[in-house]
Amino acid sequence: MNCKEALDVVAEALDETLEESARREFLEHMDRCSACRTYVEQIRLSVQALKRLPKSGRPNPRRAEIIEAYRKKFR
Amino acid sequence: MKRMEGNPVLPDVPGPEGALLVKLRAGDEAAFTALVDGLNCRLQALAATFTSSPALAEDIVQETWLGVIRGLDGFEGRSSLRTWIFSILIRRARTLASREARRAGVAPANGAAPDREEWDLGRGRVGLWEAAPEPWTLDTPEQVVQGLEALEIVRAALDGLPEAQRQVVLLRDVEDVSPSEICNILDLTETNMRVLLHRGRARIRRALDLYLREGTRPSTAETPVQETR
Repeated sequence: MNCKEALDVVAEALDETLEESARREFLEHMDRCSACRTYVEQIRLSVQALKRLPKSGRPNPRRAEIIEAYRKKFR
Repeated sequence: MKRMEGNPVLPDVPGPEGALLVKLRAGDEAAFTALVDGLNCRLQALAATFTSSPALAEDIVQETWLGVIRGLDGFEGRSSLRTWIFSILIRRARTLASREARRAGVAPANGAAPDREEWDLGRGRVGLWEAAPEPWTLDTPEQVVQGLEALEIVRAALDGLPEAQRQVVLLRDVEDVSPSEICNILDLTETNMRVLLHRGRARIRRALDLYLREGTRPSTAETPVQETR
């Protein structure tokens, strides 16, 4: 696997969904290419940061409308 | 107020979601309210990827919940309840956003526009970096994701992604929806989905890289802006 091929499967490698032979080739490439190693590690950290983003926001101003619509369905 | 519990005509859904669904279909208001409160912010975030108008995003979320109420009886559990709700949102968002765009006389935003600067499947890292990427100097790598400021950078970079990239990254990384489900609900081929995910993540990485190595805080726009003193 060269850099291009390795970087094409980063998502699958991070998901651990690569097939065994591809996984081995990917890891071998990571062993000998420090640029890809750095890049993939930074992608991994970026993904982790995304996972940690707070999932909050302002409350729905029309929440009562939704609950009322639900109630109506069963009335 | 349970009236239709165990209605044999409705599609049966196994597991804990099945139990929740039985409640929702039976008119259990507490269960429905908890669902709304748990998911509403996330629907807002997803709706915001389809439009720059907060009012329209609010309408999209509202119509989504009404669609959920109407569709509860027909939900077959082929995906998780949450993914099903996301898919309702995406359908409503596309309809509403294109109607809005027609009214305003502009073409709907096209987030899939090619971007030569970035990742191309089959072209690998062409243009991805000019010099080899430099390691981030951190005591522990996890520092990156623990700092509130870094998370703000990531949030801003996510909000600044082109529409289609933002949708894929939001669903995959923030919401942890599986790749195949994302293809389904966004109606993307697997290849397209992978390209969008790669490109989106590459931009998030670049924003973090600028911030961690140069202290630059990129704006939500494409090009980093100079800090004003």
